[in-house]
Amino acid sequence: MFDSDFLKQLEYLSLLSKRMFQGQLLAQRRTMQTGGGIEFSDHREYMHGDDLRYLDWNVYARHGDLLLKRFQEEEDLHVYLLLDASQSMDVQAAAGTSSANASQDPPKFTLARQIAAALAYIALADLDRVSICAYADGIQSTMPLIRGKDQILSVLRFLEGLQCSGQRTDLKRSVGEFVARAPRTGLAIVISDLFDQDGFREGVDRLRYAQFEPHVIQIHTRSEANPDLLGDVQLVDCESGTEKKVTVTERKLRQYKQLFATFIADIETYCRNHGLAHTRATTDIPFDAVLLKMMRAAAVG
Amino acid sequence: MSLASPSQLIWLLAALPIILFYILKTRLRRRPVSTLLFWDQVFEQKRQRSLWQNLRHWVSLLLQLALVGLIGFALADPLWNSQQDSGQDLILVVDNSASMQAVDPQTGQSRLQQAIVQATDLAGTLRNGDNIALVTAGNSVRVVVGMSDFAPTVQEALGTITPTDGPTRIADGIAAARRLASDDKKRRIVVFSDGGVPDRDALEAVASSASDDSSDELLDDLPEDVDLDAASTSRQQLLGKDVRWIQVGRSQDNVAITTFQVRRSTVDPIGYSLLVEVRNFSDAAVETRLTLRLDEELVDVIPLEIEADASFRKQIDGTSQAGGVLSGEIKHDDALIVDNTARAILPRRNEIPVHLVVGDQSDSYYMRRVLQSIPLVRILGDDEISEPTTRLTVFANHVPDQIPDGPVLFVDVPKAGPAIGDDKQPAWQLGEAIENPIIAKQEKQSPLLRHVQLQNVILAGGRDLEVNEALGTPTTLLETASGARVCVSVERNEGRVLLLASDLDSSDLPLRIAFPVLMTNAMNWFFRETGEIRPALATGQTSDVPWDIAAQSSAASASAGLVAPSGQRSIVTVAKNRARLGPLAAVGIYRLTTDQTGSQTTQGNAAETEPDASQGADTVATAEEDDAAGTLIAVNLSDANESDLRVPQMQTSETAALPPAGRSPWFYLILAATGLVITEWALFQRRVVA
Repeated sequence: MFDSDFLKQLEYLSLLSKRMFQGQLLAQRRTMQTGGGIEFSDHREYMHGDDLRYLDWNVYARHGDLLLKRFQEEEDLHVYLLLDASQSMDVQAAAGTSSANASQDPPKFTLARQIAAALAYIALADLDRVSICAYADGIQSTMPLIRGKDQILSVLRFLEGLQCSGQRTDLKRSVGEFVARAPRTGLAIVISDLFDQDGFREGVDRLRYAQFEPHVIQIHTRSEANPDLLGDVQLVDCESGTEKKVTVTERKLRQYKQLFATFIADIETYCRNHGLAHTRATTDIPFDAVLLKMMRAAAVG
Repeated sequence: MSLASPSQLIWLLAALPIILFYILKTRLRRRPVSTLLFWDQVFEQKRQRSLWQNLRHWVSLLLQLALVGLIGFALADPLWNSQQDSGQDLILVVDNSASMQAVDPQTGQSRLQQAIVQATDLAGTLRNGDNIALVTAGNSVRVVVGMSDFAPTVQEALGTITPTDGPTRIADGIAAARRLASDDKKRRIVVFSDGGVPDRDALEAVASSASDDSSDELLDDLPEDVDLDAASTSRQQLLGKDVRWIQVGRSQDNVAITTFQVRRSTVDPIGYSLLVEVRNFSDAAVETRLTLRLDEELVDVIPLEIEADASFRKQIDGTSQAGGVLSGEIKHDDALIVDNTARAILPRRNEIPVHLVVGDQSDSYYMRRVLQSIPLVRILGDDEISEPTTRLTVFANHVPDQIPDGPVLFVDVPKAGPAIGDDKQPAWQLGEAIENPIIAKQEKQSPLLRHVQLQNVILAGGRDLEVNEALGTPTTLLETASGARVCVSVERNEGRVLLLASDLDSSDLPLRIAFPVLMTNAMNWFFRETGEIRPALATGQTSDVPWDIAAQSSAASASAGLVAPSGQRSIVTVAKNRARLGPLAAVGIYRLTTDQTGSQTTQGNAAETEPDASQGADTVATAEEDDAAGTLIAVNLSDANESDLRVPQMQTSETAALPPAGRSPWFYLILAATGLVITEWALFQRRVVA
């Protein structure tokens, strides 16, 4: 899954991200705290008790104003990748469609891991700290915070070793465990199909409440959006194993598509209302295209 | 409705495994999906209850059960009500009379075509053990196919039925059908007709009360002018328990020539008198015109305004010496064409040249005056005698040395005839004079003495005539009380000879009315009545037509040919100078001919000699010169009953017992089952194959 070509694509994406965002992405963001940084930020009036070392004597000599120089303190960002490893992410696209093209699409979990690897590489390249949590009905496995570009291989190994498991998807519980473990707040990127039986909103809300900055990447297959099931079928929920014998007619199929479109529209509305970044991708789109789409959205935003 | 094989209903048990399989049906396509979130919303959560939830496709199950039911029912072979009697003898009586040629303007089909279609359908319902026969009851009753158990033969024969121009003979057809199947219980006669039977009033009345078995009430319903006995007989013939009517066609208006006959004019020797009747068989007045033509030459056009159910009758006098085919045609576009034209034959009225040879001792005043009084007779002058023409030679009080060829009349025979034959015997011997020769015996059958009564008349100068057989075949016409043969006709190959031993100058015979009549008959007899007007015949009639050809042969009867308007030849028997013609099937001009080779000619050659309208005059002209060219006979429909296209109101119950369709019930059951299979296939494709 992560071959040399993949690594080349990661490097290219990393360079591209620096060029596009000019230091605005991830760890290159500066905190508004003044402190031990070296980069001048602005002036403020001197107040009694301020350290005289930061007094701008040049200004005082020219204008007689006592102004204090302020410096922006740099801070390395914590990037948490919350990767949905429930069994719904591993359903083959062919299971729900008879289309020849759809059958060649990778599973959602593959695309999710590729996106996670790319984001981790970009973050590591920007000297940010990256942690990956795989979750289903709870935290399944966690990769602790790492830093440095040389750690990318361990990230890739971790991702390759992940397996889909769990009887259900529970983002709320998983976020609860994650928040309890996370040492610092930071950027929390949720990569999931969001087919959460209890609703994904509570989990994302919980991230927001814990001062994380959530970013939602929604992945679904084309067959999930446009199934071409017709006739008598026995639908099996891949997570719970629940069976459902139905007769799918054209009318029912239209109802399904309408429901799915409403589901996606709800997610976009939710994210927009709460100022969350949201990216939606289908499995037929390469991961780099998804990343570029994310970057463009961030640059415009 | 009953079942022929009720045991086959056991196949209905096949419904049980179908229901079982429906309930136990578990083979569904398994499709793993990421989530059932949306499917649960689409299919609102209904509790799936055990095995019975598989019956949700109850329409399909019902279709399949109906399929099994239909097939099982078809295997049981149900019967229509009319088919319940197994081993029935089905006789189809198809009316192919003239009225069945009426074309329905809506369908474009004639009544006969409709009848054939329905009869073919009915023949298709024949079952094992059944027999079927086909009888046509048009111009003549004909058993087309005798009793057979092979329906396709009848169906094929139905296609060959051709319409005739004759009258309906349904009663005879039913009688023939009853003779075909003697078993009353098995016999089933189905009549396909428009109901245009001769006594349709009785049929309507009978039909209207056919469901009532009381014959008293039945007879009470009859119109007063219907003879009760006749109506009862009609009822027996037309409607019995074994007879079912299938009425074809609908009532239509028609205008027809119902009478078209000519006769000799009473005032004009070469004139004719035409009686024509045109009837309007509709409920509305019509305007039309009658066109009379004589060999394509327009004679008259008579505009007609005929009230509803009324008729136009007129006697039209005309003159034609040349003769020909006189035809009348109605310019009216109606459903039946065959009765819009009628024809009659006018003979050519040739002049009769007479060479009168008078003896020295008589001036034969009366003879000359009588000959002059006969129309068309022309006494030749001395300068015309040498011309070689066919003529009558009259010897009055004179006996030539040699009897000339051609017809010869001897009046007041003075002596024995000239010597003839190898033994030179006189042609006749003359007896002694008789004192009071009273006619005691008269040959009544001879055409010479038609309308002549000479018994008890004193024939002055009468003497016995003993004709030599070598001269010809003698026939004694008048005989005295003493046995003296005073008037003898002789059939001679060279020409007919009439001998009358009577002194016209001294007897009172010329003063009697009988004498000119006798002479006129003699003229017709000499020339074989070629100038007589023959009445037009009607189709379907058997008639004897006077035809004077057999005298040439010694045989009592001879055969001759009859050429139909279509060119088809048939053999007719001629006996006693009368040709016996069977029921003639088509209207038009028939031709009697002695051309025996004609009977062996092919259709194409026959057509060459067939007279058509344009050549009619020529044919008549040559007919007198050569008998072999033929004698024309006009045949018309002339049947008001056939021309009346208004169908009687038959009771619908008469046809209710018949199969509602042309095939057995199992056919329709299988057809319905096939429809169900197609429907279920469509449902299956939609449900499973997708």
